[in-house]
Amino acid sequence: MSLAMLRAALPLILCGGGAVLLLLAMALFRRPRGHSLLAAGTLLATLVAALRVPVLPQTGLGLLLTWDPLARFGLVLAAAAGLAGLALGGRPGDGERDREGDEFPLLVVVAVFGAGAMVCARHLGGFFLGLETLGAALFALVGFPLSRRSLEAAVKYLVLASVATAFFLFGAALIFAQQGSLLLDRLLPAGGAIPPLTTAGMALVLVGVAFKLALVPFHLWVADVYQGAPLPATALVATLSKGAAGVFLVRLVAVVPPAGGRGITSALALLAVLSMLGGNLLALRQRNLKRLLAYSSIAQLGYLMVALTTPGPRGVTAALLTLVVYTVAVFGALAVLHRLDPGEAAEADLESVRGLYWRRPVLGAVFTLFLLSLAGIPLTAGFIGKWAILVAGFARWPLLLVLLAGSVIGFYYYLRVVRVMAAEPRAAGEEEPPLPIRASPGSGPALVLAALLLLWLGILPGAWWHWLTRVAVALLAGEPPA
Amino acid sequence: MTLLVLLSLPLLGVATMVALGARRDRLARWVSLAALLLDLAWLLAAWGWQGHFSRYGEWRTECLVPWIPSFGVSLHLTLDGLGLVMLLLALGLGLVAVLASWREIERRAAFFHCNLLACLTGVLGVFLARDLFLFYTCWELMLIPMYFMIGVHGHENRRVAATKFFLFTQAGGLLMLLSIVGVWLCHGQQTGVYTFDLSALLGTALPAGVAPWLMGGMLAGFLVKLPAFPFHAWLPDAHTEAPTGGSVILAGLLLKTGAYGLLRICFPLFPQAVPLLRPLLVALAIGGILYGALLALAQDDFKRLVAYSSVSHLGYVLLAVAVWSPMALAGAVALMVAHGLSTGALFLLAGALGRRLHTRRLERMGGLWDAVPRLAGAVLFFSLASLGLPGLANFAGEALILFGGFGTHPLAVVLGAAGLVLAAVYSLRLVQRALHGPAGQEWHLADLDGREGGALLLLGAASLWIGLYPAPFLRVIEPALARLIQSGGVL
Repeated sequence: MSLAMLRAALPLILCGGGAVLLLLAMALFRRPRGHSLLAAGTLLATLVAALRVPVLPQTGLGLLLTWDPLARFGLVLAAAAGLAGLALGGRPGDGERDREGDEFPLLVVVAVFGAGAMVCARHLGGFFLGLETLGAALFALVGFPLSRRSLEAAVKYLVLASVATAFFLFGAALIFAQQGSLLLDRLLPAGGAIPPLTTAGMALVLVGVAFKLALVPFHLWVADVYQGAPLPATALVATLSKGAAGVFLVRLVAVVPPAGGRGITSALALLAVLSMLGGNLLALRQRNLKRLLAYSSIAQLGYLMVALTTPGPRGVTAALLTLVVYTVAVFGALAVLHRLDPGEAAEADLESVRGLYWRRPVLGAVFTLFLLSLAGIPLTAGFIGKWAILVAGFARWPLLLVLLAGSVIGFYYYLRVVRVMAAEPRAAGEEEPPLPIRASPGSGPALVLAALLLLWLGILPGAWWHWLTRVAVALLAGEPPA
Repeated sequence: MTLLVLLSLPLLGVATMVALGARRDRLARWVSLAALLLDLAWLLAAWGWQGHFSRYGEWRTECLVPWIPSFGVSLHLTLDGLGLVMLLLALGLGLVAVLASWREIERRAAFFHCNLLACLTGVLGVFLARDLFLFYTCWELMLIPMYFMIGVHGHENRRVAATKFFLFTQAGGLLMLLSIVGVWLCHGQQTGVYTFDLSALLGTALPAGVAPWLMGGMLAGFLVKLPAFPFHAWLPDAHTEAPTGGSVILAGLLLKTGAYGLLRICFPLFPQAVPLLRPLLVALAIGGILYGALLALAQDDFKRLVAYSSVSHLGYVLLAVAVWSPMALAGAVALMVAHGLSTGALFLLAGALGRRLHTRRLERMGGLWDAVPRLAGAVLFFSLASLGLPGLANFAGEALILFGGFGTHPLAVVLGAAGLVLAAVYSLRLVQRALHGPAGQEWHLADLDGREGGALLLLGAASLWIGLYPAPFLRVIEPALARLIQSGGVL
């Protein structure tokens, strides 16, 4: 391994090394707060390293991984999502729930490490390793602390994720049998017809990724897992897992040669239509806010798929921008739910936000901001994302019309939450009972940061646009050869 | 710079109310009043500052601040005669709305007035914006505050009304966004410069197959707002269930933004597509005029009757815009202002009656002339304005529209004139049911108080001025309209 490769691998090394260090620290000392700080420090170091370490020109990072602008973007996103999830986890509270905080920071760091491998992967095997690492960590996070609901969610997540991985592996095996390589740019033949074995393999690989992204019809797990898992785990599933899978999909779509690309874009278009309509329609009747956010994320990722159906840098830029916007908005909404009810006693029902504008105006205002961003109102980041998708996908206007229809349906349920927040609170004049469990100390700053980021992206998106366009152009210019 | 201040003064009012803390509900109406009066003074000062009113360049005042250079978005605000008239209407009706809500809104008053000021900021932005991204942002900004005004402070059926209002307008707005993106892309592909600035986008040669569709998308947004005949379903509920101040703003201003958008943006951007869509628009206009009038005839609810009459009146505006002749466009602007004045007054009166009688139903009214003579007189005055009595502003507008359209669309004008007859019928029916005849019961009511009377006096005086002596009004808007006709539709 040359020095340059070692330097390029630094972010991942920091992340993995931090996980090992954390394991040792946990074995030797029992100081939950210290462990949380160590984990946060690791993720921060990973973030900074990812931003500073220069791109590796031409050669990959070994066979499985690479370090290019897209990998950098993905790792920054993953580390940020990990830090955000860590902020929600916080230190143990004194309530009925058994909250031993030790394993939580470790699992988050491991999850980020897995996600990092997923976004840096230029080989199906590399993606698989990252996928499994992330999946194992998330499975534990979803089920922990133990309760009937979270165990149910964890088992559902485990079973369905395993099915998804099985599909993925089978598809990869078929492709390897036909093409002889699992490198992303060798998955499809450069020209001529695509052999049926490869088509089948590619379809199965896409199914595996679609499971992770919770696109319709592979979405059945998402509402139950969001609802059953504790809020920090929900936040990680929503932002880290989907973000990493999304980045990988962007890489896959961008790198595949145009001849084979047409099949992929048709598949993505179908998934997009099903998700945009299915996600929004399913959310219409939801009264549980976590389930509502789950179904709305299905729709949001459907919008993202529209951006990937057109070749070219515009589509990639729009997809990456939508990933960022979606991550910030969903995290923000979940963070608000956390601050509203850290012990999750009320189970995030719609009634728990009744009259929020009058009870806790700042929280209500911030929640409204995140909901409006998900809906796509101007001056929020969500509008810029939507605009970018419209620009990128303009040639495929039937898809855009479905997007508009989905948006209008989406407004209905977002508005319902806003309306309940503006209604009169239940017991007028009564003091709110003090919460048995206090909100995690990091959640407040994280919430403020998320809101500011949303406004920044919404009002002055120029700098972000430049960065993401450069990433897109670099990605499409060519993958490093083996 | 001046125009940025104009836009920010209402927002400053919002910030003040937030900063006031616990006393904000009591002081809210005063803050609102102060913010709007200041804004009005600033506008008049800005207009008069350039010296004696005489010929000027394209814009009286202009403000250009880059916002998102990578997309080609800038804060481009411009003011000309047409803009001045619309801004005066906006601020005037804003003041009327604050005065109308003085006693009516007690609970959560600060929230209401913040929404009112925010909505007005959106309206001002729509009338001032020259950049399509900014225009769309202000367009959307009007929606959420109005949703809150209807949804929180409205009457019994407010939830459904607010949601319908929002979803209809949003759907139209999204189609408009699609068209804006299309125009942006076409212009960029042709010239290499990606910009949202309207002055740059005018005259883009759009491919012949695409132009009608892009225009259709933009039309969708404006026609839903106007509201044109088949897309009007949101209007009766929204107007009826909104609080008085909300109805005044909704009927007086938000509907005009749709017409303004057609005038300023839609027709000038797609001159080649206009002849294709013109017959459809004329048909929709006539449909709206007659349908709205017929439905107004059948109404028992005061506010609902006025709401349907709005559909009918704005059909004339749509007809004028579709015809696109100088006289018709002048009539359209005159009618926009006149309708704002008369409908604003009628909703104020409906609210006044509602507060005194606790009903909006005409069946329960009757004999109000003796009980509340001043209020009844005002109802009569503004009903006459609404039906187009010569001497009042509405007549000036409608006459100019019908005369202006007769040369090219005689059949449409004949049908439109028939609509005038229907307007007379429903207006006089309103007067007869509410004011004349035997009293529904023994009325012991308070007549108009100072605030209501003052607002009505203002509106009535404006209506009389434009109706009796429209020349100065027409002189102010003439240069702007001439420029629009030049850039806009091929006749």
